[in-house]
Amino acid sequence: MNSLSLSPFIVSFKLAFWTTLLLLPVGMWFGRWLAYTQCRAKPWIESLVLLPLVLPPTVIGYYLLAIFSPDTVTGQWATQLFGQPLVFTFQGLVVASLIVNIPFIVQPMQLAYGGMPIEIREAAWVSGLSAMETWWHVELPQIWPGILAAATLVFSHTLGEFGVVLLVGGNIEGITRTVSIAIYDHVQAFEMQLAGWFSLSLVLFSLLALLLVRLTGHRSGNAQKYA
Amino acid sequence: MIKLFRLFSNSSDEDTALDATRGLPKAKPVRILYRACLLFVTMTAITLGGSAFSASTETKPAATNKPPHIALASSFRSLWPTLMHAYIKSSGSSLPLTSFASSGLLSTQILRGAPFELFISADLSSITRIKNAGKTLTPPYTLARGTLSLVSLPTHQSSWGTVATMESLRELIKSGNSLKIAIPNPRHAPYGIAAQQALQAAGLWPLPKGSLLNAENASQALQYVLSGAADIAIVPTTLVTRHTLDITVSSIDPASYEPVIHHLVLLAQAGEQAQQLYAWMKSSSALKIMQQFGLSAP
Repeated sequence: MNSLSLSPFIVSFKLAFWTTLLLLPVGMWFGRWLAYTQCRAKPWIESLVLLPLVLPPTVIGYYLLAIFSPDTVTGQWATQLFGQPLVFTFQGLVVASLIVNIPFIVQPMQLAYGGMPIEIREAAWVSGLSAMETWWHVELPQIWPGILAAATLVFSHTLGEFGVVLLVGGNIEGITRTVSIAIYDHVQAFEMQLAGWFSLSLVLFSLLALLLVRLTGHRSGNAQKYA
Repeated sequence: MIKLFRLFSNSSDEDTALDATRGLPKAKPVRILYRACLLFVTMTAITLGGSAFSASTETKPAATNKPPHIALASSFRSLWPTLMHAYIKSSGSSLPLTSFASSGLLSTQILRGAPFELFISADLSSITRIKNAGKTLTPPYTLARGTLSLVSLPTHQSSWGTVATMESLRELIKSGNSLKIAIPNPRHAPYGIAAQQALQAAGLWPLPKGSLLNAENASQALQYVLSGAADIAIVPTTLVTRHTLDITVSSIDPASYEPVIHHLVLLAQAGEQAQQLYAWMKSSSALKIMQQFGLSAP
């Protein structure tokens, strides 16, 4: 009980893994669309995408609680869809985490696509490549540093998320107690040393992740602007 | 899929052609790396996409041998390790998983479907709420009676120099000292309601503007004094009975507030181990430990 438990690390990494994995394809597609679209609603959509970045996590947590609560119609739909209520479960945490992280994936992807000259794509089309082939052979190698930056941002940000996780997850050991919640919990239990170890591990990991993005960026030459 | 495979294993001359097309030669290892990663991500997403959610549903309790999830009022934090030490020694069961918060907050979480199996609250109304929603298996069992203590920084660190009592607190405030007083939030923490009643009885309610700090729960109220954010806190006696912290403690007259009574209830999702713990919590050996931490028999 008073020793350093690994379970918050496992919960945190599981959450970060699923958030990144599920968000990456959607974010790539959406960021690409946003970068090239001429749609008039673009400023509106961009603002909506950025909203989770500026809103306090408690606001997002409040709405998610309201939406997922088993007493509400939407909550009953969610319960049917996932086979159990979403609040205070790991699945609910993943859903919440996906929403909170939308700006962290869409923004770098939009920047990455925006930074790629349109002529490159046109040249690929002229050379007879299909849209899919162009994406695979031409676009991906160009935006690769952007993808890495986005994935690392989402992963590290999920590890650090606190407000939404506490509201939607509720600090349940082994299920929704992430590292950041464990730090809060240890401080409340006057176990400052344990809180210190958890905090230090987060600092080191986040530093390593950011360093990885920077180093990869330098190597491929043009990634700094996405990170 | 075939196309994907073809693209992945494309011949080298196609690559050279492409490099020529876009005029931006790329280091080969990087390209292989990103393709490998992408393929990995795609494959994992396809194979695990659906099963991910079903795989993690195994955390559901039910009658398995998994350790039970217990929801506990924050005032139980200090005595819980000692209680569990005795419990595990006598029963050989595994250590329950715990969540500490204010009783009101925990009952809200249980109402919303949190997977707890046993609930120890610091009041009856929190349990009545979940009982009315049909989330309990047993009627509430009266576990123990708790009291309040006044906690302040050690005398050598405080500006007033003596042990603070409710009487000296009144004098200090009346003579214009601006003190910060932390109590558990009365809106959802039972010990906070009692603390407010004790302040009312001492003629100190409402406190001067800017004096009151509402802590999220009992434990955080104490934390505020330890961190120096508050001068004084009113907290459950359990939290400061067998402490090793550098604080001064004085008891508050139990007649000045309504008694805080801890209740125990088995929740609808309780498994075998939770039932075992429920029975042990009602035993005399559990009561003996609770008494060591300043709780009294109901």
